[in-house]
Amino acid sequence: MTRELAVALGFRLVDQTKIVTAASELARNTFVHGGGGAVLLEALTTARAAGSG
Amino acid sequence: MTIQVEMHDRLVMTLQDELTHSIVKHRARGVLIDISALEIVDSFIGRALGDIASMARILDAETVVVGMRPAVAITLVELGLSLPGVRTALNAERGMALIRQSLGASGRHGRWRSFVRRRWRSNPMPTSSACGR
Repeated sequence: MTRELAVALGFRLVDQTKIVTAASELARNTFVHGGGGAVLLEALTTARAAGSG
Repeated sequence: MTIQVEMHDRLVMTLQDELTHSIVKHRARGVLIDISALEIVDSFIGRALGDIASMARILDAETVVVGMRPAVAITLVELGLSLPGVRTALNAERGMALIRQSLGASGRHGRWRSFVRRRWRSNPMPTSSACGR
């Protein structure tokens, strides 16, 4: 889900990997320490570039 | 998402459990873990790999992790994880050479009486092999 969005936004492979890893860390902490939660993925764009920030 | 994380973690626990049993059962001197199928390695998996290497070392077996993707290496280092205590090699062939070399150096010349290979189909999990003495 996270990777699909990262790919769709044009992130290169290394950045896709970082994003998916971050999502994994967050999901794990949410589950282990917070007892669960919801995931909201949102694309942010700036005036100059999409998918870079 | 929650279920995936839980499943994922449980599979890592299963890997540790089965691998340590395999080391003892086959009197393995070397453990080769192929992570080329892993698209990501987060802190949990990184720690698990370190734990497996420590467990294997206590059981007198050498662990080599092979096949890490370049993007995974970059992400791990940026996360502050450099897998201390885990030996790595580019691919399975080099990993086996490394294990043979260190066994040779300790006065044992590689007589491989048994060879065990496991593959976890569930994504994303590493494959592992235990090589008997």
